[in-house]
Amino acid sequence: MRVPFSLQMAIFITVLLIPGVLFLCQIWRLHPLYTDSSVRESVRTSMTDVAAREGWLLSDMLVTGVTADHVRLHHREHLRGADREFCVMIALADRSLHSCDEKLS
Amino acid sequence: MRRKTELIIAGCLELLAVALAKWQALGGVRTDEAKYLLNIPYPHPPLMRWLMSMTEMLPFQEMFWRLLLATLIVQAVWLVWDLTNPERSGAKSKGHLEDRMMICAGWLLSSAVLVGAGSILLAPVMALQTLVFLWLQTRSDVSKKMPAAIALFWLATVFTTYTGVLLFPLVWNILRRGGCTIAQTALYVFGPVVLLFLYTLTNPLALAIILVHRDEGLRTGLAAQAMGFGTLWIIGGAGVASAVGTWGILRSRDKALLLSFILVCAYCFFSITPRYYAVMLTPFFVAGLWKIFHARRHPHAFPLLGCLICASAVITWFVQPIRTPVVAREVMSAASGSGTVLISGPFGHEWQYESRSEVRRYRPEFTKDAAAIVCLNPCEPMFDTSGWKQLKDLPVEAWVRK
Repeated sequence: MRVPFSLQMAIFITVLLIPGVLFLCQIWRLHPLYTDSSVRESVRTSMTDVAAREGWLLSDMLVTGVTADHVRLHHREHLRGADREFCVMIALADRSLHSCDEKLS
Repeated sequence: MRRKTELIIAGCLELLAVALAKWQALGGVRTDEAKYLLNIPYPHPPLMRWLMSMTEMLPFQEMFWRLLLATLIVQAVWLVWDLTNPERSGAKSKGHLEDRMMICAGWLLSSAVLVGAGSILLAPVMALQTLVFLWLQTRSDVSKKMPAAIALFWLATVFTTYTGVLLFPLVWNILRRGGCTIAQTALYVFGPVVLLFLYTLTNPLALAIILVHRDEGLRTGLAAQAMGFGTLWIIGGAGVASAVGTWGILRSRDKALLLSFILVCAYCFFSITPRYYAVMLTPFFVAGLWKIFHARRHPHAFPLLGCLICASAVITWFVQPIRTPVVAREVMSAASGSGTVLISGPFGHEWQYESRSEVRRYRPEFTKDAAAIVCLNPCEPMFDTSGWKQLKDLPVEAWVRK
């Protein structure tokens, strides 16, 4: 059975749009990283310092949100079997670690 | 009778695939392989590594993927066989059996395929995807009926490896030949690329790694780059298929093939690419061989095949995979237990793969909760070793709790 070209195009556009919208939402949460070089540098050095202090690997730290004063991370220990995952926030001012449930001033 | 012959050939090819997978398995899981098996979010897009990580619960995860990828790469010779079908190219004479065998040998006897088939890496996967696109170039009946399916396969390709983007001229050509308008083709081809760009922006680590590698590549001198590319070129086609295949690409009038080939070569030239990237050139050499052989009966197929066999044996010998197991497997087997593993010094992701518990960088204040400590570099400052036992007969210094 031949699928009409228009239906094929519609399916393809849908397949592109769904993840595209999700990616755009995530990019919005990260946009200070790309628009402000001082925030970018601050996030980079904070993550490096915290990784060295906690003994974490940078590849286990996924940035999920950035503001001018903190960065939100999803830490996942990549191992065989179930990976332990948790959410943390790093305050960019003093590089302290906080739970994602805390409200930072 | 023909079906029986095909089954026998497929069976022999499968034995080759099993042998290649077991050959790779001798060295254990390397750091790049561990990245994909554990779905570590760099340097490549998520599709293939997500699929691989879905099998993490299998105790035989490593062997499963080695066998699967080796089977796909080796059995892909059927695609080469079909690609060289003279009826597809409209050649008037049939036969050319020795020519087709030579071209199939260009794939199977490529040193890059022989040493890469059983590896859990994305370069051989991209080579396979390239071969599919080259095959689709000869099947305009498929692209006429199912352009969206081809576009979805293209989407999967770019979300497997970033280097997949370099194949866009082939995909453009396939879709235009299939009757898509320029606007439709642009959407099918560049839509996935835009989506890949958006994905990359959601993963700052991958972007940072890309920029670091770009800077490293640019800092490399021209001589080193040329040497590196030359090595990949030779390995990709075992020298003989490399030369004849390149000649075939350059003298053909297939602009899409030529442009994709140039893009992949440029990537290999300007980047710091490991040897296993040579397999990305192999499908192009195969296509180039067909361009040489299909136009007319070529009198030199069997002597060339003999040269290819000898060259492949020599080159494969020099680039064969490491057969001694990685240190991580041996150490982690001896040091396994519940509790954190601390490692001092730089280490690759294979340590995470071989460990069943958390792996952290060594700091003395973490030792109270640790079950094992591995000192790849001297553990400084040294921890209090009372309460710890050093494991003997290991290639590195490793301690476990008494």
